[in-house]
Amino acid sequence: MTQIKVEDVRVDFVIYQGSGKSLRKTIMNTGTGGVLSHDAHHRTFVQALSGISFSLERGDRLGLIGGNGAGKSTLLRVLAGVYEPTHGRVRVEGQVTPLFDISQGLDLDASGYDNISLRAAYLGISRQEIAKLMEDIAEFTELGEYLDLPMRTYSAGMMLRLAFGVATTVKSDILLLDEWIAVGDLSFLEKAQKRASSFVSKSNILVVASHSEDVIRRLCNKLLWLRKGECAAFGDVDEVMNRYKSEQLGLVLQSQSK
Amino acid sequence: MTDVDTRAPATTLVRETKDSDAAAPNEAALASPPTKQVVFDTGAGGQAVHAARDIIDGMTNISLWANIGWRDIKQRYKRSSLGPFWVTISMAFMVGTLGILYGMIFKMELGTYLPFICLGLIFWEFISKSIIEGSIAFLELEGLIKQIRLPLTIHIARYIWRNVIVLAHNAAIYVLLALAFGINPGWNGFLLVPGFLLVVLNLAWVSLALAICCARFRDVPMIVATVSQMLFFVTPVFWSPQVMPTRTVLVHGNPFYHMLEVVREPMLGNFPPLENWLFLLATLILGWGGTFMLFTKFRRRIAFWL
Repeated sequence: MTQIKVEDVRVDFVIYQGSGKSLRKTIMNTGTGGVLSHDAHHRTFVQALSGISFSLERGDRLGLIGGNGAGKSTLLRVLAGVYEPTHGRVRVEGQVTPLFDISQGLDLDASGYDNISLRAAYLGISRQEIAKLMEDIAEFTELGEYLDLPMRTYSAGMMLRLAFGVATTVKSDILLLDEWIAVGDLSFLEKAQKRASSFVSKSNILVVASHSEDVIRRLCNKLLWLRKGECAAFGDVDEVMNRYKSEQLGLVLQSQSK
Repeated sequence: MTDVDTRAPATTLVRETKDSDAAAPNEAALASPPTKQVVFDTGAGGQAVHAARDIIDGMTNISLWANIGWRDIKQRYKRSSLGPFWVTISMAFMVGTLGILYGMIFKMELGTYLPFICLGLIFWEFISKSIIEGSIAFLELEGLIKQIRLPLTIHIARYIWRNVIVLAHNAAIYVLLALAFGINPGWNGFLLVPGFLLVVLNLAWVSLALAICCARFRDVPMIVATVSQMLFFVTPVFWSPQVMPTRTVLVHGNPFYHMLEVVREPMLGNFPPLENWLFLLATLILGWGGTFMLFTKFRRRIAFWL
């Protein structure tokens, strides 16, 4: 049973200012007393998310919208299980495949083929399975002989093709995508969207953060609007999108009238 | 450490290998092939349970850390023609020059001194590199840690494993020396197995504890590098503990001395004294105890520190 349940999640980032991250300061501070005030003086919290609750069932395709720094990427990382919430509870059932920062987790000195198997290994795929999937992935990426060359020689779009190919080929129940659409060319976007659509049609869960209304309308059936780490609206795509756009429009008009 | 968020309730990740009671039998039959359901729940169980799970899952996922550790080594020497044997060659030079030089200084016979210093150097390389590299494991793998949920201890296992591979390459030097000087460790040679296991399990907690500290405090990697350099001279790597006139604390209180002894002595055909074994057992238990507490407390904050 694939599902995601998020209950009243809050994520705080502690900012260690410059040298505040060094051991010397902590030793000095505890040494000179004032352990209690230490927190108040040297730690700054950034509340990246707060009070987020929702649940997703099979077949749900959630879009995340919101301005820069609204917490979209943080929320995706919480769903991927790499950030554990400071408060609240996240329960994810099903194999998760994250696709965030595409160049991360790739080895630029290794060949494309090597990177496919490396990525798949991280995602928990056995060697035999990787060998079986290799052709499928290679075909999807359309990179041909480039797959034998080191990743160093790839463009950002080519890396995206590879990462996306692996993420959507391996068997998984939940796909998390972060702004992945930005660097692909048109023919790839078309293909990628088809892939993503077929992924969600197999009653899996997709969560995608994007600024593109087009992408969201095509892929999603639910929308979560984040504003400064809080849930501004959650629900039907049209309804939330309209509210989001009207607020954005209001902000633009406001700044113009000044 | 003052860096604890006491307000936070117990929230961690749990990995269950199968969906025990939630899925009714007919429902499971409907779902395509019966696959392992990966579930994580930040609200189930206490921090200690999740820390223990991380350690068990990380250590037992041998196929992943062995595969990636091996890849690390291949990658490091990808464009050199001799590959990992560069390690062996540079170590052989080190053994040869230091062996002859200190053999003359200590007025020792080469036939006994060369194998001794060879074992000392290759095991020291293993111990110190495991710790130095292991301590920056989380820092180096930030991108991965922030992207794919894996047990954190898997990274530690990977880093230790790749040093085991380097050690295996270096072992060739000793084999040659042993053949040349006619050294046969005999039955005592088999003590290398428990000795090495004891060393590796001790290195695992040291690496994990340091990796946690390094993620939080960025001065620690420098401290580790400095201290390990000093330890090279303090620990009887290239000098025999027997030349110490009295049984000083400097030697016998140094855990690295004991680590070295339980792997070096068996290879020379000697039985390492009970003291070595007991000391390492004690550090193993105490060290893992302390590290486990540290890991329990800070495990879920590590990703945020990076």
